[in-house]
Amino acid sequence: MASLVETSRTTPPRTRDIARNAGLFLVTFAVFVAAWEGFLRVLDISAILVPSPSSVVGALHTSLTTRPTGPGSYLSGAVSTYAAAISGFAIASVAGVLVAIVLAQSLTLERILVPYIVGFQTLPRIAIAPLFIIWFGNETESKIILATLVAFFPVLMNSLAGFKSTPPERIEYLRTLGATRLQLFWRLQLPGATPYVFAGLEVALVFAILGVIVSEFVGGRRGLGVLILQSHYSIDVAGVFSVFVILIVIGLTLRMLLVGARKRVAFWAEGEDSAAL
Amino acid sequence: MTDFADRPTAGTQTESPGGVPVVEFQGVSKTFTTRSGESIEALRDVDLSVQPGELLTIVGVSGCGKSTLLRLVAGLVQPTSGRLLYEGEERTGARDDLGVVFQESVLFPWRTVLDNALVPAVIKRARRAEVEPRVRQLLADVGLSGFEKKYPFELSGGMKQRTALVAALSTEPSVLLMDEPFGALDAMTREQMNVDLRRLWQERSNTIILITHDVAEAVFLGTRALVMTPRPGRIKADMEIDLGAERDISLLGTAEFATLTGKVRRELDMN
Repeated sequence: MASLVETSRTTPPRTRDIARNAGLFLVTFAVFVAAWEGFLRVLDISAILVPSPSSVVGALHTSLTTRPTGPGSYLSGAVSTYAAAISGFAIASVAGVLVAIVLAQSLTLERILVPYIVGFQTLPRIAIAPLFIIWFGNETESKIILATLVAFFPVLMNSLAGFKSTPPERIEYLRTLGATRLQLFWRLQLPGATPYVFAGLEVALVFAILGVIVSEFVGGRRGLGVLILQSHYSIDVAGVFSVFVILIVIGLTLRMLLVGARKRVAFWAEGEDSAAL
Repeated sequence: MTDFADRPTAGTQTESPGGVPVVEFQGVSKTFTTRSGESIEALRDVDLSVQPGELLTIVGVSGCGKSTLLRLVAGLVQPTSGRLLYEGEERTGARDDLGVVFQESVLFPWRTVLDNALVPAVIKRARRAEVEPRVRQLLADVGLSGFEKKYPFELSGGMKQRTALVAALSTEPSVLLMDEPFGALDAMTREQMNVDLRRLWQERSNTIILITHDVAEAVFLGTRALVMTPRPGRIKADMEIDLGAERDISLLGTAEFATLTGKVRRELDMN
């Protein structure tokens, strides 16, 4: 049949793309670091204000070698911060998706509840952090609760948008096949919403970490936020920056895990966001 | 909801050589009420009977109610007045023994070609082992063998509609409803799809109701063509298309074909 030769889209050679992107990244990163170091030297900016890359690496090295583990070390700080962030993120993800599913089933329910949700969302939730310290103490609970609260809304709103984005033609199509409401949900609404859910999760991950750091600033006893404050009090700007490096490295790793999961689960919706790490 | 008390039910049944009509409209009207409270008369007093094995094409400009007609058959909407009979009987609710192909591909992007073609079987909770061999055969019949594991984003528009067609045929429906199935395709692909659909229909002798705004398509495919006029939608002309059973692409250039399409066009224009 003549129509057999209709062309089908082929996927580009991916490994070459990845290698090229990695190469590009390394080059620009090297240029950025060199420029940073160069500017500081040429403009003679005080190391107390802005540390040079070499002094940041130095501070990082000192901290990791003089106190690799135990209280006050970067390792225990990172464990404390990310255990809370990931717990909050996980709770927020499950709760956000579940509430979105409930709201998507009933327009009435959505109309009643969404004003409250949006109203609460306009309150900067990190402003509640001091209250949580009073209510739940300066231990992990406060951090997890704040992280959950901050991460919940992006998951909820994105998932809700996803569940409501189901094309009406597809619903009608399944209805002509006699699909039940449950089948519509499992076969159509849920898989169709996954790209939206992942978009929400990506924001939520960043927010959860933000929530934990803020909680640690306000009244934590452990964690990377506490380490930042300690360096800050001793006017150790290079030390502050060295914690930033840890935050960026772990944050990027977690994000890549999430993006990897999205590419497996919502592989069919790729293309919009393939430039992201 | 329906009001047909004043309508004589006996005697309206058209006696036809094909036996009991697969689908029959008896004085069906449909009026929609929009959100702003305006009422729109989509169909007025439609009488129509579809015989088994017929390939009925319905042609009309957009907004003439032809999609409403199809949605009535599918049970997605109910008539405001009049009766709708399936094999001589009245039935209510959405119908699940029909195959449907819409203009926009309704393929699920997260399912492969094979899995998309199996969607009706999954929804009807049929056993995959029973349906899959038939679906694979159908895929081969429409030229999609070797594409079973591809995803919709890897297919051309024509291939997507072929997959949708296989899905619609997978449960061996009594009637196949097609709502401008090739409307989004380019002209050359559409001609090829028309030829293939004709061939499939001849091999399997399904009853097909196909809606189109393309006069040439309506004449080329149909054993019978209806012309509809808009607002309110009414059946203006009902023509047998005597172009023989064997139809291939060369038919499009013949004088007979031109005469028939000319006739349909005149019916479409005068309103």
